[in-house]
Order: sequence, then C-alpha cells, then structure tokens
Amino acid sequence: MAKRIRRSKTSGDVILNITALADTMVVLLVFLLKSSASGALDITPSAGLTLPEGTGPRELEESLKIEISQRSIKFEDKDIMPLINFRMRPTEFRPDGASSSLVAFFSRNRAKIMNQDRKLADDASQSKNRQKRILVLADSRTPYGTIRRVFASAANEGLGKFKLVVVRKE
Amino acid sequence: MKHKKEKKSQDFKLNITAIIDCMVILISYTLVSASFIAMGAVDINFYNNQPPPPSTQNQKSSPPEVNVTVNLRSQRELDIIITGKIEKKFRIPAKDSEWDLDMLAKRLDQIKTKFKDIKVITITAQDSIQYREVVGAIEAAQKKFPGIWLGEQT
Repeated sequence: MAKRIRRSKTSGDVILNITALADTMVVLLVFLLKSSASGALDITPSAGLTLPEGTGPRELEESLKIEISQRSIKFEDKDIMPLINFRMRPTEFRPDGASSSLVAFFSRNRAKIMNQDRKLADDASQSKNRQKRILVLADSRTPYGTIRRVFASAANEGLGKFKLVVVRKE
Repeated sequence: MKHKKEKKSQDFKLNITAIIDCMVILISYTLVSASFIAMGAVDINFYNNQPPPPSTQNQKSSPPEVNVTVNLRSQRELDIIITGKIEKKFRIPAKDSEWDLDMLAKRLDQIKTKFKDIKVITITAQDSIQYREVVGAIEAAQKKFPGIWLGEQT
C-alpha cells in the first residue's frame, strides 16, 4: 500500500484538454490575419488629439506625417513648432500666408524629406496610383488659419499634396 | 487510511473544456459588439497665392469655362463664387445654426450639370473656422468634384 501512495505522489501526468482552446485560437488568428491584411497602415495620433469625422475612403499608405495638436506641430513624430491653443505666434506670420519657422524647417530639410518620400514610394511601388501625399493628422478644433499656414509652408517647398486623415463614420 | 491516500494524490485531470467553450462565446460577443476605429483619408492640394493651374482641370482639352470657389464664412454661411465665362455668387445661409451642406451639394450638382468640364474646385475659409467644418465642406464638395484645392481667402 505504501508503495502505491509514493508512486502517485511523484506522478506528473496531467492531461490538459486544449482542443477547444486551439479552436478559439484558430478563430482569433483568422480575425487577426484579416485585419492585418486590410489595414495597410497603423496610425496612432498623439494623446488628446481628436481627428475629425468623415467618410473618406480607406486609402492610407505609409507616407510622411504632419500632426497638428493643441500645443505643437510635429513632423514625423518630432516637434517642429510650439502652438498656443492651436495658434501660432503672430511673429510667425509671413505676408505670403506661410509661417517663417516652418518654411525654414521645410527648406532646411527638403532634401531629407524628398529622400524619405522617395524611399516610401519605392517601398509602396506595388500599390497602384501612388501619390506622394503628406498625411495630415490635425485636431478637429484647429482653426483653418493654422492649417492654412502649415500647408502654405510645405507648399512653398513643393510639398503641396496632402491626405487629411479622418475617423470614418460607419 | 483510504481518505488520506486521496488527499495526497496529484494524479488529476483538469477539465477546462466547459470554461473554454464559455470563453469562445464571450469572445464572439466581444468581437461583434466592439466598434473598431477605422481611418479614412481625404485628398486635397494646396495652392499658395496662385489659383490651381488650368492643366489640373482637364489635361487633354482646354481649361474650363468657369472656376468655382466655395468660401466658408463666419455665422456658418457658404459662398459659391463662379468666375470666368460667367460671374455669379450664391450665398447659402446657415440652416438651424449649422452648415447647410445639403444645399451646397445641390448647388454644386447644378453647376456640374451646367459646366461638365469642371473637375476641380477651390475651397477657402475664414481663419477662425474649425478644421472639422472645413473637412465637412470638402467631403460635401468631393461628391460632385473629385479634385479639391484648398486656398487662402481672397
């Protein structure tokens, strides 16, 4: 009797029935694969940024990105200009409607930006009708005056095509 | 003696089939009820101090007879300005203190019917108009005209 007890004590034969778990995983995997195949690009706006709602098509591709939030303007996730409640300082205003700091930034980094854009265009060469458009993630409360100055500054350096990112109304 | 033996035994089978079945149903409900955020994009061009070049209007034939500009004003008023062969201006007042985008679409449809060669229109706004309102007007206009240029109010 004592022998039998010892054997069962040391036994580690635990059979886990994972069939149902595996079934669940297969279903989840299908969903994940489907969403990763359809969602070409993962865009994560900064915290506190509310994108406007729209019905624009889901034609988002990897591209250069400008983000306009309450406190700053970012280009490729780097702060390039501070804003005060969505507005630029009046000292920034140029007679041609652009912003002096932004024009200087785009002018200084023009070659780099064009290279980045060309690289992205090469990476996406399989996609049809590739257009070099800058993705614009702007807060829905941003005044048009600020948007206009950002666009005008980029357009000054030949970057005048944009894709306004919206949250799709379903 | 027998009771003692059962207590110490580690030879057991964990049957989690039922709980996994419940999880499957829960996950299905979660997936169905979850609202996934989908992003879309609106294509625009911007011109700085110069109106869109005629080549963007219609590359094969001559420039269009008229240019159309939609101007978003304060008090949620919309101006449609036609210049070129004919000079005309429509004002669309606010409807229930909101932009009357249905009327904008209707007016643009009439213009499109009359001047079929227009492919591009320009949208401008006062500096204080919020971005979401501009996007709303762009989308209303884009139903009729695929090419949208943003510009500075003149």
